[in-house]
Amino acid sequence: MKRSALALACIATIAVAATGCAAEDSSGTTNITFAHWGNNQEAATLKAMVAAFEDEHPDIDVELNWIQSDYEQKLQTSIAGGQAPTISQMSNTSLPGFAAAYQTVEVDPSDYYSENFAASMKYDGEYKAIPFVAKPKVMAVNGALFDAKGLERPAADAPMTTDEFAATAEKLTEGAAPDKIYGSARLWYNGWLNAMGGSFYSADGTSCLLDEPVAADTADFIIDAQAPDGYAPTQLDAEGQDMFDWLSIGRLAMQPDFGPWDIAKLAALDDADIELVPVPGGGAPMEINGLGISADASGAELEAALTFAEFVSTAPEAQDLLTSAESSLGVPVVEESIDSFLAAAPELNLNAFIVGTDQSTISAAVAKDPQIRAEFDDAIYSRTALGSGSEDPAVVLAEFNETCQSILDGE
Amino acid sequence: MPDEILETTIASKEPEARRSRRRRGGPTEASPASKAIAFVVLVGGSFLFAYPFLWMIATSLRTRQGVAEGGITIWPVQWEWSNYLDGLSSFPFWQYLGNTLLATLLPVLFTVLASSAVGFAFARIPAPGSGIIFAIVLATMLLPGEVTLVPQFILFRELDMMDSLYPIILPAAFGSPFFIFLFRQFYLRLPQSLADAAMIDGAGWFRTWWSIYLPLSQPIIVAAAVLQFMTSWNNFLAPAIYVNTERWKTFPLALAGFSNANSTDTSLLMATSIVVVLPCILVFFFAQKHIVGGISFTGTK
Amino acid sequence: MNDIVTSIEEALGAVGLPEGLRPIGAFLVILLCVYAVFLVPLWIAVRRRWVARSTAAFWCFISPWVFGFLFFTVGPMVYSLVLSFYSWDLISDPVFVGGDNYVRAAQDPKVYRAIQVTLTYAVVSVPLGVIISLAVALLLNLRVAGINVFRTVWYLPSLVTGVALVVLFLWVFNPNYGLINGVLAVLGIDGPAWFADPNWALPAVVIMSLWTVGGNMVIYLAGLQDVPTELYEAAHLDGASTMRRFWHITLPQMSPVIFFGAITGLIAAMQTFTQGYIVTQSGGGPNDSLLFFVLYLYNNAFKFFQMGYASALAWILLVMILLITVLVFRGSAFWVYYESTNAKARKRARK
Repeated sequence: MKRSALALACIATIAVAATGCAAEDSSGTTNITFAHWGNNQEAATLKAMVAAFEDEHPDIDVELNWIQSDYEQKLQTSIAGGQAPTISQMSNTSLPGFAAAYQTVEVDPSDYYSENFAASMKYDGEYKAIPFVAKPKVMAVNGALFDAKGLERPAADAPMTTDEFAATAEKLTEGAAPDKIYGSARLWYNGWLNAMGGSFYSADGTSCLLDEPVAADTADFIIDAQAPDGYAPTQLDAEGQDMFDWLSIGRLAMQPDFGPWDIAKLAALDDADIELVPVPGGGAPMEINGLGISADASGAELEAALTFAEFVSTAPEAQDLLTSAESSLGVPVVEESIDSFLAAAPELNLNAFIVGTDQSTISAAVAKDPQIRAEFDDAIYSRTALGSGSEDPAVVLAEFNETCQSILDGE
Repeated sequence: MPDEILETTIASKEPEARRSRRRRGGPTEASPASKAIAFVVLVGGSFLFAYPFLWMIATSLRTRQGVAEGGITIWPVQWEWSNYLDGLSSFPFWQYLGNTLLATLLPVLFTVLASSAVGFAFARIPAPGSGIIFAIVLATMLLPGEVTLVPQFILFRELDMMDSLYPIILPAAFGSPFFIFLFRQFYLRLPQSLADAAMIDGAGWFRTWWSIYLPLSQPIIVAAAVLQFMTSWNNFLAPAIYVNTERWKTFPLALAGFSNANSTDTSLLMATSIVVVLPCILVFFFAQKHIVGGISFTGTK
Repeated sequence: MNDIVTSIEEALGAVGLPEGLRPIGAFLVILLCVYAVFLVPLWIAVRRRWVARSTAAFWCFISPWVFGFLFFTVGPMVYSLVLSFYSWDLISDPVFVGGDNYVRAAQDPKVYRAIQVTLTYAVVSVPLGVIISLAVALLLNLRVAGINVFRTVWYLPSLVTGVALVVLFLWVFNPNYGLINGVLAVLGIDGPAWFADPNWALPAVVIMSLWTVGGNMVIYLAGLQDVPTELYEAAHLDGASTMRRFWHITLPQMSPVIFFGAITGLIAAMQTFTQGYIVTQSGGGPNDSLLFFVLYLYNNAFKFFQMGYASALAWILLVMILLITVLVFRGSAFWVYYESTNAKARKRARK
C-alpha cells in the first residue's frame, strides 16, 4: 500500500512539474564563462585581468573556469557535451583542432605591434580567436659560469650563430654526471629546427619539410650535443628535473628556450647572475594564446564575450597585468603595455622577449598536428640516437616525411 | 546499548554462530627466533616503503634550489617551513576541505548502505536468477572507466548537474561490485537460521536486514567505508571533468595547480600533498584492525 | 530529457527548494518515478501470486544496484557502442561510417603493439603482485610489537596519488639522481635508464606497481585471518613443519583470496592507464614500450580527436577482458579450494 502511495505522489509531482511556472530573474547582467589553464600564478594573473574588466563593465559577469590539468581533454568533453565555455584560452598550435567550435571573429592586425600575433589566430583564411598574450622564447645564461671560464657573455641584442653556440657551450661544460655542469639545457628538436633555419611544415601547412637537409642536420647537431662527452643533458639526465632550478644553482650555463612564464621566478632570485639574450640562429617557435568564442554563443552573451575579448586583448590596463614582479603569464601584445612589461624586472633584459616576438616564427596551423607529432616523437626518439635508437636520422626523417605527408593529405 | 542487547539476543539464539567466528583468525604465532628474523625484515621493508614518503617530507622542507640539489638524501638541509603555509594559502583551503569532505563522506555513507542491502539480497533472499545477476555484478568490474567519459558527461548535462559535486557523488552512491561481494560473503557466513528466526518472529526482509544483519556486519562496514574513503578522497578525474568553478573544487585539483606544462613547484606540491594525505593515513591506521578482521572470501561458515 | 529535468527543477523551486539542491531533487523525482514503474507491476504480480514474495523482496533489495547499473554503466556503454560506428572529432557532428573503425583497428599496427604491451605487463605483474602481496601479508600477520605501525608504513606508497605520485616516481626512477640508481650505485652497479630505455621502461612500471602492493595487503591479511585456527592446531599436534603447514593449510585455504586478487589484478592490469600516462606524458614511451591499450584509446579520443575510433577500441578491449576472465575462471576450478564445494563432496563420499 505504502508503495502505491509513493507512486501516486510521484505522478503528482510530475504533474506539478509539468504545470510549474518558470520564474527567471532578470537583473540585467550578462553571464559569460571563461575557461583557461595554468598554475596558481598564471591563474592569479587571469583573475586580476577579469577583475579589471568587471570594474569597467559592471553589467557583465565573467565566471572563471580554471582547468588545472588535461585542459584540452576537458574542453573537448564540454564542447562534445554541449557545455562549451563562452570563451576559452587557446594556443595557436592547438587552434586548428578546435576551430570548428569557435566563431569567426574580426581581428585588426594593426592593433598589435607584431604581425605574428594576428596571423597566428588564422585558420583556413579566417580569424578563429583573438590574440591576447605572446610567449616568445629567449636564451637565459648564467653569467657567473661565463666569468669563471673567462668567456665573454653573449651579446644582449644580437643572436649567436648556432655554431658559436655549440663552441661556447662546449667550453662551459665541465665534470661528469651526476655533478656535471652542462653548457646548455636539452635542445628540443622542434625548437632547434627553427634555430637552424628549418621548419616542420611549409608556411601554408600543406606539406611536411622533414626530408630537407636542415632537418637531418638539426638531428645530428642535437645528437652531438647530448653525447656522453657533449654539452647538453640527455632526456634521462634531465628527467623530472627543473631546468630553471639548474640554471639558478649554476648546474647549467645556457638555457636556449627560456619562456616568459619564468620571469617572476627569475626576478625573485636575489643571488643569481642571470642574463637574457636572444635565442641563437633563427630563433625558436613562439606560442601565442588567443581567446576563442564558442560557436554556440549568441545575442547578449556573444556581445559580452566580444567586449571581454577586446578588453583583454587590446586594453592597456589589462595587458599591463600580464607580467609583473609577482606573476608572469607572458608578453603583452599591444605596444602601450611594453613599458609596463619591461618595468616588471628592470634589472633584466626583458627587451629580448620583445625582440623575440618578431624574430620568432609561427608554425603553420595544421589540424592533424597532434597525431603527426605523436608519430614523429615515436619515430625520431625510438629509432635515432636522439632517443634510444641508432639509425641514421636522415633515413628516418625521410621515411617519416612520407607518413607525415600522408596524414596531412588525409590518408 | 541497543546493539549490545541485540547481539546478546542473537548470541543466545545462535551460540554456534559466534563461536565459529571466534575460532578463525588472529595473528599467527611464531617461535622467538623466526619472530626476530621477521622483525628485521619488517624494519628493513618499512624503510623501503617509507623512503619515498620520507623524501616527500624532506622535499616539502626544501627551497626550490634545494630540490634540484637534493639527490637521494632525505635530510632537508634547509628547513623551509613556510612551504606549508605558502602551499596551503595558495588556494581557499577551508572551502576545498568542505567540498572534499562532501564528495567523500556522502559516497561512503550511500555506498555502504546500498552495498549492504544488495549483498544481503544475494546472500539471504532466495530468488530465481540470483546467481546470474551476481555474476553480472562482478562483471561490471571489467569495464574501463575512460570509455564512458563522454557519454556520462552528456548524461550529467541532461540532469543539469554540471559544475556541482553530484556527478562525483552519484555514481558511487548505488553500491560498488566489490563491496557487494564483501557483504554477500560476510552474510553467507552468518547462519541461515538467523534470518529464518527473524522471519518467524514476524520481521520482514527489511527489518531482518536493517536491525539484525546490518549491525552485525560492522567489520565490513568499516572496511568498505575506509576503502571508499580512500578512493573518493583522491578522486581526480571526475572533479577535473565536472567542476568548473572554485566553489566546488576538491583537494586533488588543488594539487594539480602546483604544476603547469613547463615546470612544477615541487616543494609546495609535496608540502600540500602531505597535508592532504594525512587524513588517509590516520583513517587507515585506526581502522585497519576492523578491516582486516572483517573481510571474508570463503562465503561459508 | 533536459526539458523534463528543467521543469521538475522549476516545480521544486516553486515549493522553496534552494537552487543548489534542485538538480538532485529532480534526479530523485525521476528515480522515484522509475521505482514506481518498477514496483507497481511487481506489487501487482505479488498480489496475483505470479511471483513469490521473496523474489519481489530480492528485486527491491538489489534495485539500488540495478538502477546505478542502468544509469551509469549500461546507458553510457550502449552510447559508446553506437559511437563506435561513427567518426566523431567531438567538436563537429558525428558522421556514420559503419564498421570502418573496426576494420581500421584490425589494420592498425599500434593496436597490436598496445595489446602486446598490455598483455606482457599483465602476465608479468599479476603473478609477481600476487606472490609479493601474499608474502607481505604473511609477514604483517605476525604478532609483533608495533604491527599496526608497520602495516600503516607499508601501506603508505598506495596513499600518494595524482601529481605528487608523478613527481615522486619520476624521481625514484631518475637515472642520475633517483633513488633506485642511487642505491644501485652504492652497490657498485650502473643502473639502467629506466623509462628512457625501451627494454627497461616496462620493468620500471612493474616495479612501480610492486611498490603499491600495500593496497592489496588488506585483502590478503583478511584472508589469512579467515583461516580456521583449529586447522593449525591439528597440524601442530601432528607435528607438521612451518613449511608443510603453509603448503597444506594456508595455501589451499587462501586460494579463493589469491584467485580474487589475481582476477582483480588482471582486470586492473588490462586497464592500466595512469602509469603510462604519467611516465610518457601521454606518448607511448621509447619504442612504444609503454603504449598500454587504454592509453592508446585515450590518446585517440582526446588527443587525436577520434572519439569514434576510441569507442571501437573500447569495445575491442572489453571483449578481450571478457574472454580472458572467462578463461581464467574456467581454469580456476583446478586449483581454487572452496569450503562449500568440498563439504558437498565430502557428503557425497559419505553416502
